[in-house]
Amino acid sequence: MADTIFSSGNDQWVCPNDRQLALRAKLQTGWSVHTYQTEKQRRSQCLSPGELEIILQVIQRAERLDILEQQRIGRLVERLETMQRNVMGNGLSQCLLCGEVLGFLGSSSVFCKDCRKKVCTKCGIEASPGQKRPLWLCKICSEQREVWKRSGAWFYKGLPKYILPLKTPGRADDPHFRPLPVEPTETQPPSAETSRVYTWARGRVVSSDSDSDSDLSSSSLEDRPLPSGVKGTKGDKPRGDSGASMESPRLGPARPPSHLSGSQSSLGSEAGTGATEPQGGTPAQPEPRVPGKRHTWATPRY
Amino acid sequence: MSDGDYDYLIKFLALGDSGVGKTSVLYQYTDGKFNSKFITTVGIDFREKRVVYRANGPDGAVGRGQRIHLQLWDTAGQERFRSLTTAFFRDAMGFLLLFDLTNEQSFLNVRNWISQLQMHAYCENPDIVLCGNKSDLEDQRAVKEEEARELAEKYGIPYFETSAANGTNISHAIEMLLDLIMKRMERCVDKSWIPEGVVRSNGHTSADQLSEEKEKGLCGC
Repeated sequence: MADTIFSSGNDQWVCPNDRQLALRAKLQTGWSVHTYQTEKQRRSQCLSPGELEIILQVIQRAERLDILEQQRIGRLVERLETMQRNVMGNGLSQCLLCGEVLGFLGSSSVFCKDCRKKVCTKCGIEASPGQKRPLWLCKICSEQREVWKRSGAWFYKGLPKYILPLKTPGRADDPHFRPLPVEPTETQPPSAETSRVYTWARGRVVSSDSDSDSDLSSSSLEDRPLPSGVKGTKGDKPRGDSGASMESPRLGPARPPSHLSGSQSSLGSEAGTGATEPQGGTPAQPEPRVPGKRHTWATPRY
Repeated sequence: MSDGDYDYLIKFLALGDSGVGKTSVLYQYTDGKFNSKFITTVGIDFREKRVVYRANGPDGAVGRGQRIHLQLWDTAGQERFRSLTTAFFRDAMGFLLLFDLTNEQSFLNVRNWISQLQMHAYCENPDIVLCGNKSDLEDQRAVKEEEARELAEKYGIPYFETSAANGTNISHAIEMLLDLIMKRMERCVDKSWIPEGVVRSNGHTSADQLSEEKEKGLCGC
């Protein structure tokens, strides 16, 4: 992404988004220079090449931090998805996570507030200890909340851009290698959403049929297989139990309608950006990218 | 510092008039040093610091320490950089608003900076900590402490008298801002699930609605 933005590396032209256009306007670059300003006004407000260079260096430093952050969020997301894939029970007569039989002759159970499924007390976490009414979350929903906090999604109103960990155990720290994971990440979230929706829907329909659910889950997960050896190399200690059966709990928070309208308007502006004509020739100056660039992927709500 | 081994990335932004000490305050906080020579900031800059945050629960129990990676954005206070620096307001989670205790005009401009924040920040009521800097220059003081405290109370924001020269109150101010942000994060995550809670609860609907209404004014999301 950094190479694409700064016109070095591949020749693919990416349509600038609203943030880039706004920043170009403020930096007086690109095609959005204000024509109504007199030459004198424009000269007094323009940044000198030295000042522009300093600002661009700061923005590049910020982008390096952003890449680290995207990789960290990718690790959080991967761990959560692993937990979701490894559920063993149906959440009704069995513990959702470990599949232990619940009820009269089985273990005692608690009810997860978020996904409304039953888990045993070992696979649940008391969300508000010390309160009059104890609230329980299953470990998956508790982890989901942690991901929402640690990724900054609470602030950006959606999960920000992330880079999933590479499949190979020994990851290279070569800076030239670093941009590569960014490219495929663009398509990851939509496919993740698709498989998530599909799995959840099938899970609802055939919730009592474990074998059928297991088969469907396996097929939906084939596009992102994880070698078993990779898990052992992770720094994070594994959570949840291993297993083939999977039933996705509810994902993402329910947002008030006002936020929905906000998201829709931003999508509309993105569509408007698509109509912009491609730029003729190489721009005179490199086009800086605003740090903390946000791509919010709307989480499907059930 | 270049690793991604932390729990949270939190972004703060320092703003205020030119020359009030934004860069010096951040430099004192991250490196514990002070440079009396004034070098004006060109546009935008940032520093980083790794801290451990311990939340105090409602029952007084201290939670486990959480590793926070702070990205502290430093802006140029000059007018000609204004359109550039305001572009960075939207990505900042909290704001450090500085004025110079020896310069009354910088104190009067605090209102203008708060207006800028209300326009360009991610929401209309972002978390702000007001700092009156250069508290060590007592003989040149031009702004009384009670005046500044009244203004802070009017906007409902904390106020600290800081000194980048000797480091007074700088850590306290930034820790207060971090505490405000972490509490807002907890409210946002819990509030996101409240609509379902309202539906689920039997006989506690009014209590939940009251709680939701109370939080609605506080939470920016």
